Amino acid sequence: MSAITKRNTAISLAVVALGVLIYWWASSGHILTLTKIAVEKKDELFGTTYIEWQDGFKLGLEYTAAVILPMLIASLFFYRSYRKQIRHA
Amino acid sequence: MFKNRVIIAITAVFITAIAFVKTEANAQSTFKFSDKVGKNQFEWNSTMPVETIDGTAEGITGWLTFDPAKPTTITGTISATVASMKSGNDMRDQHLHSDSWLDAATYPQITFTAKTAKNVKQNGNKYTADVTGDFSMHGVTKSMTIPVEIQYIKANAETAKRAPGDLVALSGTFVVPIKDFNVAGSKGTIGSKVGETITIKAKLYGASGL
Repeated sequence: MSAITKRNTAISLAVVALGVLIYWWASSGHILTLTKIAVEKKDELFGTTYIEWQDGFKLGLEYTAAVILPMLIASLFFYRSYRKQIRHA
Repeated sequence: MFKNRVIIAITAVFITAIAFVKTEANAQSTFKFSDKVGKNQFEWNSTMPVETIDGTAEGITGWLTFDPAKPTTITGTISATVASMKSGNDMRDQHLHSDSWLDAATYPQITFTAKTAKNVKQNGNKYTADVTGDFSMHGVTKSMTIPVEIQYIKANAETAKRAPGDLVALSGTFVVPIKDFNVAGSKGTIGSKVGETITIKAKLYGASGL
């Protein structure tokens, strides 16, 4: 693999990992993934609200970490390999 | 002739007195909580810097005695099922029901028994009061005063679509320090991922004709 390809792979993996992290933070920021979402509904007679659980998905940190950690390790591996190749060139 | 009039008058007074006593006796109604009236729920919340957890508890049963003409006497019992507690994550819910947390198998109900009401104020069909009673959770009972709002709707064509009789909606927010109820939780969780206090919003609906 060429040094440029290694560098581009390292950058791509880091960018995707950062993207997943930002998606997690923006979508929920929860530690645990939610598979039911609390939706607020209104009771028209009393003018009050109540919670109804609906099927849904909000990414939690446990799955986020499981995805981004291997990406970051691979990114680091390619970056170090790229640096080594550049030094020896 | 005069004797007949006296008998009629006494009978009329007697019937009126009975009707009055019956009306007075019926003035304080017992409202049974039911999902037919509205969605009975406890909404609970734990807020920590690391995470906010929102959940509900359902399986509500109980009753409330309330007289809109004399709202100072509010009594009742409300129970929620621990096993019905949800937070949107099945694994966390299982932990919550387990013996490390609320131990649903041993203590299946969370109960509040209302005994007295103070600072009762009325604004139209809405009443506010500080209700004092016993709050039981995880085998521990503590006296607690909860500010509540009661909305009273007299029976009409609209309410009859939900349940017979007059309807009430009761709401109240209170804070439960979970360590006071011997809830230990998973090691190191309380105070880091889960708050030391849980805010609970009760939203209850009952009807007098159930």
